Amino acid sequence: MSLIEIRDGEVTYRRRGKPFVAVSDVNLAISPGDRVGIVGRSGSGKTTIARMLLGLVAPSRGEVLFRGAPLSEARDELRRSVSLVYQDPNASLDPRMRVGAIISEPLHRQATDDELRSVLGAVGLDPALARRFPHQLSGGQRQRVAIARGLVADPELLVADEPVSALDVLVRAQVLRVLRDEVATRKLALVMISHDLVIVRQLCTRVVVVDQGRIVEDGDVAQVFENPSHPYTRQLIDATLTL
Amino acid sequence: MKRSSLWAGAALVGFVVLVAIVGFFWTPFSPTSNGPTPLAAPGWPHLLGTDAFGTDVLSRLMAGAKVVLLVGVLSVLGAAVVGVPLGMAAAMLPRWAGEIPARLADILYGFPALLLAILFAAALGGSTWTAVMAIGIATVPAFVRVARAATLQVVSQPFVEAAELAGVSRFVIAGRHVWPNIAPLVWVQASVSFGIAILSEAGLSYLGLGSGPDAPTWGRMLREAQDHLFSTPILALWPGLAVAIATLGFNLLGDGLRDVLDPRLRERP
Repeated sequence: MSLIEIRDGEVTYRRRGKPFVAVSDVNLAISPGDRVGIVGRSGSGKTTIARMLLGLVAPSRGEVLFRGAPLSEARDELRRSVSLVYQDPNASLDPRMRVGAIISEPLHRQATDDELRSVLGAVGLDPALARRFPHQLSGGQRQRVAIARGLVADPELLVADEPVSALDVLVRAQVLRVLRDEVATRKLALVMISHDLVIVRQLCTRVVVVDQGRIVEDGDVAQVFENPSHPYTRQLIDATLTL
Repeated sequence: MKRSSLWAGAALVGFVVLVAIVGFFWTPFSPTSNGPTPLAAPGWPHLLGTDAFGTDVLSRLMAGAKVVLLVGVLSVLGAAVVGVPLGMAAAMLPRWAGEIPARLADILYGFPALLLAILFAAALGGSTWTAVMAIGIATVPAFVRVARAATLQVVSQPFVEAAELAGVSRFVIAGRHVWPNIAPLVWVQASVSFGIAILSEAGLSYLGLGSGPDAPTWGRMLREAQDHLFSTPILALWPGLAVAIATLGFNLLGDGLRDVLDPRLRERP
């Protein structure tokens, strides 16, 4: 059984008073241990799909199921089982909370020293940083704190929304290594939203290509990269190779 | 530079508070009894001179500081206690429910402190409490607006969504994430409101709508000085200066507090 599944999902926003279909006909199932990359150009609907998976956006049509149950019945269980790493670590960490308190939040209690040491160590941070405020950390350290917060409650699915696009190249590699290792160690399902096909190829086993609010390709990474069936996927791959 | 605002504000406010505390227990002369030398120039033993009734000006200023602080603290504190939760609720409740406190604040905004004071004075008679209620109620909308705008900004941040995703309740989010992030703006608003409250109290006393006729207030002193503005202008200078020092002090203190309370504005260790 899938962990989370979107069936015929459609999300409609209102833009200047008029309805705007952000994504439609979305069918996507994430199973335990899946590592799925969602790629597409800006505004294509990748983030909306991820937010629908997390129950942060309600579909205007279709349904989202968690372990086969509609989200309305399984929201609490979903919340215990998923976490999200945002693109901008500056905005995703409360500037007035210390790192220890930020990481503790998903536990709904103060994390013990051992828990903090363990999770900070896992993302390659000194446990002493637990007493610091986010503004006292570098960009890479902040994003690793965000990953630590995502991992501390032992979720089954980690959604990462362009987690390295706000970081410089050297720091990117460190953060991606942490993500890759932790996902493998904890046998997590990963949904990685990215513009960068190289990153998706390194971290994911499956790729979903989104264009103009629709999933145009969904398949094994190696297969999609070697034999793309949709013209937009071909464009993306060509653009990457050209670079 | 940030610290200089804080220290300057703290020094001025500290001075006013000290004068008020000393004035509570001791004044050089009685602040309410008439004396034998009306309109005496500053000198010994009346350091700031005497008014038209021969009362020592310094003693009246000291006694007036107590009234000013009482009115300022009670009205601003009351307004903040009512206005901040309403503003936060206006931003965090579902849209239809949040509109209610927001629109109530807009309606209240149309009633200036003076109008409310006239209303209360007509119903209850002019007193210190009339001034506190009038200034307090008139100040509530400012806190509602500041708290609502700041809360809307905070709840749009990803760290609030991350907390919601983790199953943290809206009530806990309000206390854990929203309040600490909007508090500096509330302090700034409180300091500005305190300055306005001091001015309003002086204005209400000037018009005879504040504290009773026996209570020496800075506004009443200004009103009494008006009759001698051309013959003894220094009589208006002292209460005017006191109002200016207190107002400036609270503004500088609020500004300095904002910088100190915001960890983002602190220097890195």
